Amino acid sequence: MKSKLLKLKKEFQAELEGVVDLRSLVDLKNKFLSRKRGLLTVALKEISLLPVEERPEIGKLANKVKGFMEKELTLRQRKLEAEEEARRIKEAQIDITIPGRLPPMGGLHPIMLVKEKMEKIFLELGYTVEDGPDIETDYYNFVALNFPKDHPARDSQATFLIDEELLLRTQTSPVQVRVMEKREPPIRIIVPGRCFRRDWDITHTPNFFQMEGLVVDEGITLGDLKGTLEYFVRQLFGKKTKARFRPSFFPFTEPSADLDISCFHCGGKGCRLCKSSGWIEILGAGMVHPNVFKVVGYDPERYSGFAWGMGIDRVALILYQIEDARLFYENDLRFLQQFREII
Amino acid sequence: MKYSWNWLKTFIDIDIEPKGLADRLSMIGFGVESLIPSGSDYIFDVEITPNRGDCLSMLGLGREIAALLGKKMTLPLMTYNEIENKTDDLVQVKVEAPDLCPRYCGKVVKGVKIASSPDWLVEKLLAVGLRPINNVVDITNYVLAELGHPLHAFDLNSVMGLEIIIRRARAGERIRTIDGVERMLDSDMLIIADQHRPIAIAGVMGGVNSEITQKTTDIFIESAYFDPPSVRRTSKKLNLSSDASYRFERGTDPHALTKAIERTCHLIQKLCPCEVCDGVIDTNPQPLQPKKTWLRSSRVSSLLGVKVEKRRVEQLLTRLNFDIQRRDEDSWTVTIPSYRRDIEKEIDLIEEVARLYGYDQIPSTMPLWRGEDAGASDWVERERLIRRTMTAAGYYEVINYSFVDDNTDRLFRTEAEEAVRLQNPIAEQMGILRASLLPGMVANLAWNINRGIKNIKIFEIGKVYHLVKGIKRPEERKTLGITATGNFGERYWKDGKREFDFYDLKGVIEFLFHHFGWETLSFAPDNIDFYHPVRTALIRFGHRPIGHMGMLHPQICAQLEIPQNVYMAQLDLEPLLKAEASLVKFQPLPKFPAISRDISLLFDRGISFDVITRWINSLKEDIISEVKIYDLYHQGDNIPKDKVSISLNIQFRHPQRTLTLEEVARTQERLINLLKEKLNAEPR
Repeated sequence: MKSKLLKLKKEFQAELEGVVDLRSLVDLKNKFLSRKRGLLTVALKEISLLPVEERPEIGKLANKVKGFMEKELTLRQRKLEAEEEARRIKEAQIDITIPGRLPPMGGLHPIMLVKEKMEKIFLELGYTVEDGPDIETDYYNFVALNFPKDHPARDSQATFLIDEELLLRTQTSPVQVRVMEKREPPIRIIVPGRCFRRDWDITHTPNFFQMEGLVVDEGITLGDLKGTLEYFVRQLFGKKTKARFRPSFFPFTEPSADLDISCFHCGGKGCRLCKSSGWIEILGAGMVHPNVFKVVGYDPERYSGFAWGMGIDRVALILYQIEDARLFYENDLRFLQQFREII
Repeated sequence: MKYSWNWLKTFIDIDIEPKGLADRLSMIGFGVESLIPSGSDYIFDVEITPNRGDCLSMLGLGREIAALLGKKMTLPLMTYNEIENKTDDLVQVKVEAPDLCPRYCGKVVKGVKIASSPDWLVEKLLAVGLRPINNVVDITNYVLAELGHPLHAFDLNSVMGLEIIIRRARAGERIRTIDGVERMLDSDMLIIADQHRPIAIAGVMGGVNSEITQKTTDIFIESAYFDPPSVRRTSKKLNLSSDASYRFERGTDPHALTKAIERTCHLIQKLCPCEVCDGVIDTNPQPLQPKKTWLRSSRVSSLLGVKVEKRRVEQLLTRLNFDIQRRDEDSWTVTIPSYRRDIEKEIDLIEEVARLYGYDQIPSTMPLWRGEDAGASDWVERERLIRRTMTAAGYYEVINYSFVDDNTDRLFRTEAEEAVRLQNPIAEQMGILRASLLPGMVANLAWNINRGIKNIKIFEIGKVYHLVKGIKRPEERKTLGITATGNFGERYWKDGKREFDFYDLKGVIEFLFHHFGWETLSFAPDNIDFYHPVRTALIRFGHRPIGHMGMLHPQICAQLEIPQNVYMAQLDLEPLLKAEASLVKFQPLPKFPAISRDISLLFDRGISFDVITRWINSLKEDIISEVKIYDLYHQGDNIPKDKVSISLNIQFRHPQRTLTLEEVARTQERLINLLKEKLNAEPR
């Protein structure tokens, strides 16, 4: 009996060696330990047939063999399970270099990205945003802004006409007058909006966007205009951007100025963007003309102010180095998909 | 305008290099667009702003350079010999329209020999972009370029009756101008006439009938001052601009008329032997008194934001030929040179001081603010958020021109809508202001499809324009347009591809309204011509219609040559930008779990989901917390032709306790029975 048990153990050990998966492990377990026909179970039942004096020793041995088998089976099961788990994990391998599935992607038009960035700079300074009609009267678009009828200053603003009186605004400046008519100083506003001029070439489109700014209060100076716009260009084009003010002419401001910025592309050394001058003209500005104050009923002796206007499309052209303004209005997705928010 | 370095140097001793001069001119208001070497000369192309007509000559810009460098100018020679014959014995001048011609001067030169000009003269004219013609015409052009005063030379023997009349044209009068074009004149136009006919359009162009020819021997030199707006109106009306009209409309110097004649006579005598007649006809030798104004030192400082010393103000203005006299402790009386027509008041003088002082010398400051709290208004923030919501939903923003083709726009207008027409469109197919965003946006789809981009989702925020009965000013409304075509999304592995459909479009509108917490959005069947008749809806916000959506009518789609289905929507943004913003009120989370049941039912083909939910609501079963549609089949899939299969997911939940399966089953059965009874539904 003893040798039989030891033989079973040996046999078990030998078969255990050959077990490579959980299924054959179960088979092995059943072969030796199945409650009915397991080889060891059968052998254990035979113990009761032995003489009484032999039973304790053989019984002890039998339990030891059983314990051995159960322990070995458990150990092997754990090992196999661990191997199985490892295999499963390995098999779950994916190609992480395949690009991800993007959620539906959309984006703002570059002109709006630039407009919102410009708005943000002035909103942070405490300006409010104002709006006005696209269809204007000759009075608000020109006369109130000190552009007399039959004056060559109107030449630069080829105008779309609707009838004798109504036209499409050529600038956002009429909103200056509309706001001042409604409100007393202090005033600090920006006016982004669509404007219209009869020009159509690589840098001009028959409609475009402008942003106007106006500050009116007691004691506003040309120095304030300079400081404000210098801050603006640093915020928009980068901290190192320098501003240069040159005398210019606009009927509704005096003194008037054009503002150039140092070329952010070449740093002022001269490149294609700045036409080798190192400077890029960015906007027109000036101190509000006393005639405009008179039109809206402000006392020019008491109040002074400054105003500026710039083409948002033009800023976008410069900022993104786009060479053809007409691209803005073609709305080709391959164009629109290139832009992202300006931080 | 082009300026010659060598020519300028005949007036002023310029002691800096051309490049340096260009930079400094830019900084006093004369932007130098290019500086190009030309032989021994340099050509400056300078932008002259419309207020500085006085600088449209070598002398004019020279005055600015002299002021800039603190130099004195040497004027060109004006000497010549006269014969005894008097000019006013040979020709009479009569000004019948003194309002449009305040001063008219003229002189006769006899016995000229018309020939080509010498090389030095030709070179100078070419340098500044003028075309040489013959010696007499070239001299008048030379004086124009040099002194800035336009002159005209008439062939005296062509002046019928030897009388020059300055008058308004008569209706129906015509003249062939020297460019060979026959011009119709009207009674607003000022002309120069002889006793019988117009011989020149005043300040704009001379007539062929009196022009200088090879046969000309005696000439009448005209040097006049014409009213700037009048010249401009005539030039605009005739669509005819000349070097002369360009200057007249910007204002010339009425005091320089005789100087221009003298310089012309000097040059003519230099070029060819001739007889300059005695005296000048001058209809108004003292056309106006010198203009005076005042200037306060305190105002200079307070407007510029820098203290400019009084001595410096005096020095700068004196250099610009202003006569400046102290009036009191703070102010001066300033006499303005006759050529500075742009200067009238104190503010104009402050600008003169500022530009010569140097804008770069003015310290930069930030304005103090004593106004109310400011920042973006609600509508600004809301428009921003609408943009962000649309991009988050996967739409790209487009911006189209406000101008559209009437024929295309008409396809997208209802009969009640009337478009705003332009008097002078830039192109025929851009003749009206858009009454709808859709034509432009559908064109954007076509543009992209033609370039191989088939899956497109775009939106636009912009104004549409309509004529309104009884109101002069057309209406402008900020509007949101949405269009889409192709597949719903990008095609990815393991995902099916699905064509964009009505519900994707409806979903994005619901998403947008959900974003703002606006719950009164609803959709109703509609019949707008340009939509597919059974795939369109009217959009309501509250009870008010604010837009429409649907599938573009297949016929219009074909007409526009778009090979894909197009979905589109347009919403009036005005009420949305103004609508009340609602703050979220937190709802406590449910304490008890929900039980979910799916039911599939066959309905008649024409069923509407709205009707189904209304019947379900009529059960007043509080434990039905949500009814969703999760599947939908038409024909095929074993569905009879006149039926539709709808699969509903129903959530049952009780706020105070856990539901039993029995009560869920009971309610579900009531629901199914109701739908069977009322809507002829059959469970599948």
